[in-house]
Amino acid sequence: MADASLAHRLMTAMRRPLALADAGLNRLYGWRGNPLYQSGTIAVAMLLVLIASGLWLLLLYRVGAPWASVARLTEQRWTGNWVRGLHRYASDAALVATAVHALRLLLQRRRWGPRTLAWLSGLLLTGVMLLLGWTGFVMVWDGFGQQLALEGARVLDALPVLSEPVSRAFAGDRPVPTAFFFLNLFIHVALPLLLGLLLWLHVSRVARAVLLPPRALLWGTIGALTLAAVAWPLDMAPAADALTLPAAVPADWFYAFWMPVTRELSPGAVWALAIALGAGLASIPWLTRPRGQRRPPPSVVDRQLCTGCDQCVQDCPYDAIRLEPRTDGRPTLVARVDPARCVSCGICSASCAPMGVGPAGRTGRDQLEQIRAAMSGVEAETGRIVVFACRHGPGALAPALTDAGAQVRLVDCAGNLHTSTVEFALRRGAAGALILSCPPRDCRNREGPAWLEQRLYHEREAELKARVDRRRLRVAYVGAAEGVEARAAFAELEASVAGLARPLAEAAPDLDEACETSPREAP
Amino acid sequence: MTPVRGATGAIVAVLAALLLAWGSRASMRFNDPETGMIRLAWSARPERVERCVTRSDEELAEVPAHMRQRVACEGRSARYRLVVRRDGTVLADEVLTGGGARQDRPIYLLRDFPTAPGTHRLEVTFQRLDSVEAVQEDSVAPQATERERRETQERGRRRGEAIPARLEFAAAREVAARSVLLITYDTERRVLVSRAAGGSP
Repeated sequence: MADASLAHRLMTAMRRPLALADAGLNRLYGWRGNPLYQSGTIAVAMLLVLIASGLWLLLLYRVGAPWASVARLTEQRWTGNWVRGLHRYASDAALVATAVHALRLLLQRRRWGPRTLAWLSGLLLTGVMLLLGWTGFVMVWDGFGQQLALEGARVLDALPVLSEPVSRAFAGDRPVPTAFFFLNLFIHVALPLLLGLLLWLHVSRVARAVLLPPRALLWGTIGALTLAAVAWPLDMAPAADALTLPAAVPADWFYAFWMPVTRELSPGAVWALAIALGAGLASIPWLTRPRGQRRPPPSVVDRQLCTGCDQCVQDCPYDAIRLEPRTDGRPTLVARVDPARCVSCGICSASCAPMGVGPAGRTGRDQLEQIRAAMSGVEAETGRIVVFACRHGPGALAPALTDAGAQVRLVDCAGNLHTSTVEFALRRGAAGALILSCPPRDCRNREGPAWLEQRLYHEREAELKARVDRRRLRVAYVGAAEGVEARAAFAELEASVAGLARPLAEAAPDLDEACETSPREAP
Repeated sequence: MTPVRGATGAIVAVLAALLLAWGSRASMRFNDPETGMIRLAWSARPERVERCVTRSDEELAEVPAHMRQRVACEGRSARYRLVVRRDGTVLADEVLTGGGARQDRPIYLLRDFPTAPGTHRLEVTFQRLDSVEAVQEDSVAPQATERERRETQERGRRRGEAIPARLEFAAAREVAARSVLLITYDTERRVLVSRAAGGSP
């Protein structure tokens, strides 16, 4: 389809600047502190800051004198102004972080199938955040709050549900009723409860959801915003007056970016635009899902090989695997994959020592077959370094690494790479193995790099056997635009293995396929 | 992390925070600085076009106690014609009805007319279109029950609350740039009045 290919080309084009931004911030803060990787958790952290600062501001707010009470707290530099500034900037940061988070997931194709619920609940979360911001700015009742109220009322009045138009409340022939400010405050305070519910729904289909950024990034972000709030204190704009028409007012562009557009449209057109935009965003999981053969298959369990050890259950980032009683008379349990929750990440493949689980074509056995075939020729004798690279990130660097002399093998995720494959490559005569993984917080399958490291260095099932020489092994976390770092890691490993004795190439390495974890018996 | 990289990271973080702070207070244009506004805004209950019948004791006895209303009225709200002229030019000429799906709510009026600054001759007429039967029942019969007395008072209150059959505003008024000249209905005096920012008429 022409449209589909246009969308595909557009997204491919947008991935490049994102990868460059990731690379730049990785150089500045390291992948652990890269705020782009942590956009989702930063949004949650900012919501907590908003609740904490909002509780304080709530104590000082008066619905009977909205502007005057906010003006009073704005004058109090050390007990009011900077808290209000932090509250404002945290709300902006939350929205920006949410937008970055959504853009990343869109570009990384993490939006269809089992992730549909997260996408839809994320859209609702964003909508509620915008509404929260709207009510928050109206609470101040300065010129900007008044313009927001007027525009909201104008659009709301197009719905034939209210007997008295809301706009009449702001016409100026009578004071704006206190009941309006009370209702507005009530909504502003109640909406965070809805946010909490939606957030729970948002992460309900992932295991071990991470909700907060690393401590350094958390406090760094709060510190930077606090610094901005203190160094550049908020001013108080003049109070709203229905009978004056300010030419321009200080406005929060993050929450009012839509106003220059909607003010030029009729209320009906605004509704049509909002519905079309909402429907378009909500249909993305269905519009962009891979069709037919291109759709990655869910994992399946080979019931003969499965020992019921439950390692794949522990490792699955989406809680898609359960153990159930067998029906063949064996005393152990057997794993079963729920295809509705499986995103085909293949992480379970690498968790299974007997290689009895995984998506078709990407199980441990499949990987072994593929590397056997790849290393059956002359390459095995040359003592080259084998680079395993995730095709969704550093895989883009494959041509440069091949030019540098590496034998590059792409995997679907670093967490999908079975340790037996690494062992096979080294015992078959590779001089070394470099695994290029996406940075842990940027893994499209969430936990691939974390489990990889555990399996290579911390004996997590299915672990890399002790007999494998770790001096010939490196793991580097790099993104798609970090060619310099990837080449440096390759050069470092090359220099390191050059000082080691030439490896013996076994013709047919014998690999263990036994599971060392105790099987779980049926109760 | 090298000191240069750390310092660069800190500077980038502060710049990002300041950029955020700037985006949170940058000026947004809302109105043309060279234009003023004439606004018509009021809400008032329209008169009723209705037929009332006095029910007999026998008729009242047939309905539940809480529905025993001596005078029962059925009808609709009257329609009104609004005409607005500025310096002789007609800005609006429309028929207004009561709000709500059954049009039995007050008339809610809100119209804005962007206007060049200066003195303008304004004429606003608000005229009832339907004829309303005059009802004279302010006096209560001596033998009336307490409930009938309250019903009569309530009908009188509603009639008194309704907007007059004709309202008219005709005057020259100054319209300032970036301000609204409001023409509204004064419920106490039962006339159309004008009001501007700062309380000037």
